[in-house]
Parts: sequence; C-alpha cells; structure tokens
Amino acid sequence: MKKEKFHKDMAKQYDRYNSNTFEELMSYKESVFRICLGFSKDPLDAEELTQEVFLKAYRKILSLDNSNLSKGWLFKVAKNTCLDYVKKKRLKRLFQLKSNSPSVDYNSPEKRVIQNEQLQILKKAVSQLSKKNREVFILKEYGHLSYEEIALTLGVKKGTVMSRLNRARQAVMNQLREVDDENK
Amino acid sequence: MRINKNKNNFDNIQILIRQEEEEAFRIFRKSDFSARLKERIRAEGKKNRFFALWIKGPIPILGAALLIVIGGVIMAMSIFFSSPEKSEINAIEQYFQNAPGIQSLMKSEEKEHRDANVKDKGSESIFWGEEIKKIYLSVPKARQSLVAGTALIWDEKTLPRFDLRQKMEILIKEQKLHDFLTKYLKKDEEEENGPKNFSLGFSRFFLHELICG
Repeated sequence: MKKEKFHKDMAKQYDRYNSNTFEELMSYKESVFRICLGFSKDPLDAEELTQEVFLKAYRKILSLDNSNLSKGWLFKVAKNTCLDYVKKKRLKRLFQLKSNSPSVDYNSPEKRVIQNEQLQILKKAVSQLSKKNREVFILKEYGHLSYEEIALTLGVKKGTVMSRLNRARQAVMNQLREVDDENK
Repeated sequence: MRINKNKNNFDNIQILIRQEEEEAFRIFRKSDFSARLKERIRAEGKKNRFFALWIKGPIPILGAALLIVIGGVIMAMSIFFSSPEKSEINAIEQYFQNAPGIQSLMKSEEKEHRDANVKDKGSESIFWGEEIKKIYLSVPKARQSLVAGTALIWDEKTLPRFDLRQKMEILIKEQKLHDFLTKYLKKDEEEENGPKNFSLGFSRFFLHELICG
C-alpha cells in the first residue's frame, strides 16, 4: 500500500517536472541567470541563485493557474529570490568586520576582466541604486526583458518602468562620469 | 549633442554589462544545469518523504503510547504515595462531587434533623447543614495548604483565647466533625472494618476552619 503511494507520488513529481509549463520555464534559465548576475554581481552566486529560483518555481508550480503568465511569474520568483540574497548578504557584511569569504578564483583572463576597474565601478553604481530603480535596471539591462515584461513582473505600469529605468541609467552614468573626471 | 554624449556613455555601460555577462556565462555550467536541478529536486523529495513517514509512521504512535504510560505511572504514584491528608481531602472532595449538590444535601440533612426531633422528642439530634457547608468551603483551602507545603499545621497563634464554655463548644464541634467524617466518608469501611480514625493534622485543620474560618 505504502509502496503504491510512493510510486504514485513519484509519478506525480515526474509529471510535474516534465509538465510543459516547467519545461517552458527551463527555457528561460539564461535570462534568470543574467538577472541573478545583475543582483549578485558574482557568477558563482548567480548560478546558485538560478538553481534556487528553479527549485522554488518547481515547488510552487502547482499554484500557477495560468500557464500563459508563467514567464512573468518566474521572473518575479527570480527577483524575490535575488532580493532575499542581497538582504542576507548585506546583513552578513554588517556582522563581519572583515570579509572572510575567499575571492572567486577564476582562471587568469576572467580574473583580469572581473577586476577591471570600470566594471567594478559599474557594479558599485548599480548596487548603489535605490531598490526600485535597481530592479528595473537589472531586469532590463541584464535580463533583457521588455518594458511590458518588467511591468508584469513588478506589478507596475509600463510608464513607471520607463521613468525608473531612465533615472537608474542616469544615476549609473553620473557615477561613471564622476570617476572618469577624478581620474583625469 | 548632450543626448549623443549620454547615448555614447550608456553604450559604454552596455558594453561593460555584456562583458560581465560573457565572463559569467563561461563559468555558468549550462550543460548539466538541468541534471543538477533534477538531483536537488529528487533529494528534496526524499527528505519530504522521510518527514511524511516520520509524521505518519510508528514514532508518533510510540510517543503517544509513552505519554499514556507516563500519565498512568504518575496517576498510580499519586494514588499510592500520596499523604494521608491528601487522600482524605480527595475523599471529601470526591464525596462532594458525587453528592447531589450541597444545597440538596443540606436540605435532606435538615429534614432528617426535623424528623428525628419529632420521633424522639428531647433527644440530642445533630443538624449537619452548617458544618457540611463549612467543610465543603474549606476543601480548596486545605488542598492549597498541601500544595504550598504548609500542610495542615495547627497554628495556635491564630487561635483566639477561649473560655470554658467556648472550649466545650469546640469539643462538641470536634466530635461533630469526626462523626460527620465517619458517617459520610468512610461509611462502607466502618461497616466492614469498624470506625476509622482520621489523621490528627487533618481533623485539626478542619476544626481550625470551623472555629476561625
């Protein structure tokens, strides 16, 4: 009896995993990874976050009634997962005077790129944006989402997305320009 | 002009972002991403199943059985190892719980008292009503004293000084109390084994209640 139930559960899980909806969601893994990268600013963390996003999506997929909205729903899951991560990271930094986490040991050309000064400034500029502007900036510039998709993900109007994006871009540019001026 | 400058600036930013993405995608293990995810889902499923089995399985049944056994042991201990005062208080409380109600009990006592006086004029029949009520009211206090560890202490300081008449009344009350306890609480035992004496502390406590309460 228990064995029968076990097999039934397994079949249910298998169905869920192989459902068209989940397969469709999996096709967005690269977009999700980009979004996670935008928030985490660390490729390894971004990969871990992407796994976490799909795990969450898998757990909650049965609560998704309308499969047409699955893309927006997935990006919302991604955004929330990343914001949780950012919050945790910030707290961790608060409690650690000196970061003990080892720096990611990429192979040398990658390391060179990551340590590129301009890229570091960009990362800093993005992380200094307000939460609302940062969300829009990352979904647009990293996730390559359309204005409509961002509006759907964040539950705001398209016009709001455009104005927030504009503000975010201006702020990032100003930051980069200031550093450029200082260097000159 | 300014627009163009801004555009150029932002193009630079987008180039930087593309560079960052390119580097990140080199690290991203895309090929086995699905396999790793499936593995995690499977591991989570196993964990959940273990939890479900734990909830539905024999452990909760064993836990419940253990609780029942512990409860039984505690009850048995409270019955067999309780102090005589406690068992006597329990007996009184049980008696009042089984009684049809203190009001009806007093009424029946009053009737008995009246009938006895009619049948045997001049005899010394006892009216219990008031005494039963006092004992009934003193039961919670007696229990509280036992719990607090100040069980049934005859505190002479709290007693007023008595003259001879009052002392006689107290003795009569004590007799009444003893009669009451014997008559009502240990009726069956009395019939089988003869009258039972209550512990001194217990009787004194109730006597104290009758005098000072």
